[in-house]
Amino acid sequence: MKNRLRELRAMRRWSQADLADRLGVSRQTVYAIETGRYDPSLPLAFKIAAVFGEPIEDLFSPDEDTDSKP
Amino acid sequence: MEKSQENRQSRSDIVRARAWFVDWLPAVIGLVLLSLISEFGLFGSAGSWKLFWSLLNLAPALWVVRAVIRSLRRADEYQRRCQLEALAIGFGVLVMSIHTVGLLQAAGVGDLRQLVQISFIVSILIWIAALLFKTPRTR
Repeated sequence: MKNRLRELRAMRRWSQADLADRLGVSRQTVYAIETGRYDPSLPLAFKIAAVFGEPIEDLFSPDEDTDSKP
Repeated sequence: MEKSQENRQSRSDIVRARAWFVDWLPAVIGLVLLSLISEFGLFGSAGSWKLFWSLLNLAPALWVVRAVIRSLRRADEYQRRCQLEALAIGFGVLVMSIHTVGLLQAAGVGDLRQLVQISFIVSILIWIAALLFKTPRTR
């Protein structure tokens, strides 16, 4: 799953640790989500959307290969 | 300066690290003390109280189990996944090692006590290594 976390975080001039503080998670978790190593759970995704004040569907989008899977 | 700000730990990281330290400290102190008592044969640990002092090692071991469970409960969802993967690898290694020890014993090869101790220590080290290997990749 692709996401716009890094872009939105950079726009607000937040560090990964700043975002992690706002989400109540570790900095490693923010890094893992930003780099696509880890897809957050639905509750965490909603929390991320609330922190950025954006709809969840504007933050996350499926990979092209995810769409083509049966 | 900007780089160090970027790499700083989050507040939840600091809270978890402190709690982890507090949870593990009594177990580590207990294990060190028991090792010293056993090594130097203090308080009858080399004589009539040998069984008591040997079984007393279970107390810090149980404390470690408690610390691991508490650490898992405190972890966020990504850390929990990493920890469970590392635990699964460590457990797999332990099961395979004990199975190998059983096969070696059936063939009359090796000392049972030594082989079990080696299996135990190696599986714990692999569990820790798996956890450490997982974490730096997200720095």
